[in-house]
Amino acid sequence: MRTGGAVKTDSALSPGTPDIGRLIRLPSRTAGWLDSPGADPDLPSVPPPLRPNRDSLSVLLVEDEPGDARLVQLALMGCRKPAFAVTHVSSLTEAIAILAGGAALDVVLLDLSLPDSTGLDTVARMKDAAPRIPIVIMTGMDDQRLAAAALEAGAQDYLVKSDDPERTVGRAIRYAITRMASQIERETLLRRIAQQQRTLMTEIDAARAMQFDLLPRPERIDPRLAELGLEVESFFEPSLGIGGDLWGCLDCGGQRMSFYSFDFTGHGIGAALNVFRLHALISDRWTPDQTPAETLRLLGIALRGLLARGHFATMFLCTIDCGRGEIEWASAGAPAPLMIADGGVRFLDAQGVPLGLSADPHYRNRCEPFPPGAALMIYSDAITDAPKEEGDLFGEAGLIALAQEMIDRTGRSAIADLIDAFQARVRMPLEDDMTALGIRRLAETP
Amino acid sequence: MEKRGIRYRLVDDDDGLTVALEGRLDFAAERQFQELLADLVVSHRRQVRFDLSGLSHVDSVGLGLLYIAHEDLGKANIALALLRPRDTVLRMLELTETTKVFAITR
Repeated sequence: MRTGGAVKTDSALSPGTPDIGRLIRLPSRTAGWLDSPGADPDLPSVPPPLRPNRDSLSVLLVEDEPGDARLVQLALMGCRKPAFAVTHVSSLTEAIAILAGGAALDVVLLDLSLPDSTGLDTVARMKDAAPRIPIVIMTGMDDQRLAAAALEAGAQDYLVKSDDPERTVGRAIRYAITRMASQIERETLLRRIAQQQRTLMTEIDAARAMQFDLLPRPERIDPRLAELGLEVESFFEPSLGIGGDLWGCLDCGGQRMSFYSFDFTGHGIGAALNVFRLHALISDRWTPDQTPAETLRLLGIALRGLLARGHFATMFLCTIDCGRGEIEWASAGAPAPLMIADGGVRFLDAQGVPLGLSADPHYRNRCEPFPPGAALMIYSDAITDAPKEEGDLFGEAGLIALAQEMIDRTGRSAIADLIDAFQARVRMPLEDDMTALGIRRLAETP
Repeated sequence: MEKRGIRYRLVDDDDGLTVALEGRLDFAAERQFQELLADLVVSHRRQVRFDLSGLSHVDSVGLGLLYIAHEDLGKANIALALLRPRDTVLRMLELTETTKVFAITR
C-alpha cells in the first residue's frame, strides 16, 4: 500500500518523542547471573538463624550427678541476655528421645560419663542424633587431651566441672553456638560451590556436545568421499572442553569437495561462541562456484564487524578437484599446511590476513596438482606452538621433520601416528585447542 | 622453561621511543602489554619502535595485541614500526600478511 504525505502519529511506546525509527534496549533487571543455577532444593539459600545473640536460649543439660546438674542450673539461672531455659535429663537415651521428639534446642551440655554411655562415644552418639545442634561437653577433670579428642569428635566446646560454672558456662554456650554457626555456614557454602560447579560442568558438556555436532559425520560424507576416492582423517580436541577451532567440508558437487579449518584467538567459551558464528556465516555465504579466495573475503568482511578488538580467526580453505587432479586454496593467516607427495613433505605456500583484522581483505587463490597418492595435512597452531620438554617450541621445523620421519619409516603419513609421535615430543597437556586434518587421495579410485 | 609474560626496556631516541620487548608476546602478556600501550599512547612521541629481537614467540593473542597497538598509536598520530623479528616470529608475521600493515625492519 502506498500512502502520500507525512503521517503524524503518537507513539504509544515512547510518547513525546519524535517519530524516528530506532532501537530501544531496556536495561537488564538481573545481575546477569543466577545466584544458584539449578539449585538443589535441599540446599538452604542462607545459613540457618543459629546465632547466640537471642534473648533466650534453650539448653538441654545431660548430667547424671544431681550436684553437678544443680550447680550448672544455678549458674545459668543467674544469666540474663541471653536467659537460658534449661531442660535436664540424666541419661543419653532420654536426651536422644527429647531430640527425636522435635524439641527446639539451641545447645546441649553433655556430661561424658553417663549411666548409658561414657567417653567419646557419648559425643558421637549425640552428634548422630542431632548433627546441627552445638555440643558443650562437661568433664570432671582438666584433661586437655580428652577435650581435644571431644572437639575432634564433633563437640564445639568443653567445660571443666571443677571450674567456677557461673563464670564459664554462659561463655562456653555462646562460643559453641557461634562456632557451630560458622561450621554450618562453611558446609553450606562448600555444598553451594560444589553444586554450581556441577551445573557449570553440565552446561559445558552440553556446549561441547553441540560443538562436536558441528563436525562432519562419517555417515553423511562417507558416500561422497568413497565416490571421490578421498580418505579423511581428523583429530579435534578443545583444550578447555570447548574451544575456538573447527574444521568442516563442503560438497561442491561433481568431482569437487572443499575442506576448511579455522581457529579463533583465545580459547574457552568466548572462542567457542565465535566458532558458532563463523560456522553459521560459512553456511550462509558459501556457494559451490565461489573460489576459496572469494569465500574468505566474504567471511572476513562479515566477521570484521562482529569481533572484539584484537580478535580474529585464521582459516584455510581448499577445494580438491578429483576430476582435474588439482587442489585450489587460499589462506587467511592459517598455519601453512603440509603437502605430502612423491615421498616428500613440504609446506604449501599460504599467506593472507586473518579474518576480522582487515575491513577490505583480499586473498589469492593458489593451485597445484593433487594426484592420487598425494595427501594434505591441515592443522591448528596448537601443534607448532606446543612447547617441547626443553622449553622451546615444536615449530614448523619440528612438524616437517616428524612428518618426513613418519613417511620414511611407515611409507605413509597417518594423522593418528603423527599425533602419537607429536604428543611424545611436547609437553602435555596442550594449552590450546588442537585440530589436525589429513586428506589423502587414494591411489586406486574405485 | 621460559618465564611467562614479557619484559621490556625503553630507549629514548631523538625522534621517538624504542621499546625492546623480551620473552613471549602471548595470552599471558596481555595485561602487561595493554598497560605499556596506554603509557605509549600518552607519550607524545612521533614514532614508537618495537624491537622484537628479544621475543622468542608471538601467538595469536600477541598478534592481536600488535594490531591493537597499531590502531591506538595511529589514532594518537604515533607511527609504529617493528624491528628485527626473529625468523619464527617473522614467519608468523608473513603468514598473516602483517608485513603489509606494519613497517618492519629486519
